[in-house]
Amino acid sequence: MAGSKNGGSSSDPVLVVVQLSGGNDFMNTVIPYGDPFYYDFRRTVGVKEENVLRIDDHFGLHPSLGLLKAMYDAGDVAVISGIGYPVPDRSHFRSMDIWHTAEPSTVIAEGWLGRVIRELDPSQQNVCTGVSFGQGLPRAMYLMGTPAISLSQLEGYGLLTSIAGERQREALNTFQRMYVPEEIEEASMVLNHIGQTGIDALTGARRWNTATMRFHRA
Amino acid sequence: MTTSIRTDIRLVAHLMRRAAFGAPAWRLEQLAESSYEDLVDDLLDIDSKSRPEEDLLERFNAEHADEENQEFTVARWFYRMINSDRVLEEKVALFWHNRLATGTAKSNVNLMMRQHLKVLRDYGTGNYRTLLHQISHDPAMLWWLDQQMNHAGAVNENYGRELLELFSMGRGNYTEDDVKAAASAFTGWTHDQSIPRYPNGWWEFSFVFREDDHEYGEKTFLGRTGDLDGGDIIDEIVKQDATAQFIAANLHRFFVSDEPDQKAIDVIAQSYFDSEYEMKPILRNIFHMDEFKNSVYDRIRWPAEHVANVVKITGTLTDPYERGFKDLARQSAMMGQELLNPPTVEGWHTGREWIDSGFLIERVNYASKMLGNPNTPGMRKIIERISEGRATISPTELVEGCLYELGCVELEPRTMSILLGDLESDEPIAIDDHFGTQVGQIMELIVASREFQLS
Repeated sequence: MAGSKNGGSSSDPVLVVVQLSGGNDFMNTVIPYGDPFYYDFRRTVGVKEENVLRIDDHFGLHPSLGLLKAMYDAGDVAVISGIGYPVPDRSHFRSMDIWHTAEPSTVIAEGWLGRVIRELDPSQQNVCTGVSFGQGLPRAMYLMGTPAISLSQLEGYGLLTSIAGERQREALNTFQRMYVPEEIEEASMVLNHIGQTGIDALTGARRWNTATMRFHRA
Repeated sequence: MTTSIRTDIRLVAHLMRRAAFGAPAWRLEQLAESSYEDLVDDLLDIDSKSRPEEDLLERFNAEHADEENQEFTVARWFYRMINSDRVLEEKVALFWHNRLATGTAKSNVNLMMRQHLKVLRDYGTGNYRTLLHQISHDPAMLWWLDQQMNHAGAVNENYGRELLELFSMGRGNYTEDDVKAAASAFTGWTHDQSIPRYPNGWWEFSFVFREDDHEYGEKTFLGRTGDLDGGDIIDEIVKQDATAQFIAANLHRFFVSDEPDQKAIDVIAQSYFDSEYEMKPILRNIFHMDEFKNSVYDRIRWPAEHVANVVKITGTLTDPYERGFKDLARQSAMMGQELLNPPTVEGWHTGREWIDSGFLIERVNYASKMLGNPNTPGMRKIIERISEGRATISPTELVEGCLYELGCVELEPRTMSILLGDLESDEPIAIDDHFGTQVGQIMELIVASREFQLS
């Protein structure tokens, strides 16, 4: 996430979140080999103590994580182990909701990264404050009224790309006017949502293409 | 226009968007010659019509014969969505695909998915109880939810849990003990190993009940106690009020509106019991509800609906020998709906979640590219109809003509005035060699509108 409140510089901190969806045995990733319960609960698939890449007397990494271990030793990795929430719901889907919203007690639609983006850029000056790479915006970044760019490809990202030249410029202008949310009471929430998303896509594509052009020149 | 219109064409357009994949005006006019009741009955009259000959796709285009490739199975599905006389069957299969969601991601065996889709198609418009029985015998589903690991003495709760949570009753309407009882009742329900494909060609997977791996004995499920097996569990599930509400709410969301309406859902839930879980009477009831008729544009099109609708208007891909069906599978995936590979067993998040900046760009660009091309058979027909008998046309008539021809697209007044304003003058437009291109350029913008994302 390129967070910036005042114009931005190359030293602005960037937070990269890599979401790996799917099943992973956390106890065999960061292994609590010093805990006798571990070998009770992982009788067959447990990693033997001598194979664990030790990080202290209690925890160690899985033998296949040698690269991470080196980064850990250099002080570039921190581990937060044993994340959960009270009274676990056995539903995978409720659990994923909680993971994406960081809200264990009530069902909400606001993603936690979406809320971070809102905090960083409350006046929405930069639609590229949050950029997602991959197919579709993860729920964590979804927040009604807060823009986030979703990129499935780096090159040729943009709207109405089948129209060429000057006509495309005019068409994008029409698109912009068709999509600007209507600030009248009877405006449809759904059309305004589509509208705002379209405006974000338009602005995001322009900024993104400028940024990649600069990158190629550099 | 024909003179024998019996049903308001806007209502026909609405019905076709919801119960099928939409249709251009020339087709809607033919349909509007029937009464609304007859149209609904005709959509529901699935059994007397034949299915398209899918194997023709293989005969003309060998690549469609790739049994192992998910994209080709989806390509065939699009062929049916666009061309089947039994289109409601495909629409309902799409509905169930999101509810009884199963995918290739886990099995990585497309043959299973092909069989799975056939279950949704064969039983989707029949009895819901039968459908649950069939899906509980479906190898793709059993594999997807770990039934091969649900053993006597080592119960895997996955299928039991999702059957209750996602396929029938919804969270909060049963206890953890009910989940355990259901899972136990399904022990031993699994499928056989497939026979190696070569040199004998493809071989269907089959359901297997392993008697020696089934937990016999007393179980209590939703208050009923006995030596229950999977079939008994389903029989109990379908009787529940929670199930009626759950199915009704899902049908309402798919066929009526993205916004729930409890009163309408209650009516649908009642018809679920009245029809003894028969889908066709439930659907007939929905299509005749005022809430349905008044729900024009109350939902956001699913990507697969969007793609199929755009193609139908272009009049392309009507013959099995045409190439391009595979691209439809990809387009839908890029818009957020990779058919036969839902993100999870929960299916896709629909409604507003279809629209993020990336997916919206794909939707807009695809429609604009396809319908901005004046040289497709469908578009040539539309241009001919708009220009018929005229030497000139006013800008307003032209935009209104385009909206009508696309299948009664309805725009907000602001959008309409922006499009008209962009035509620069109120002077009549000459119908000359350049006219087709001009229609294409207006179409490009109409289908890029917010409204065109709705159904």
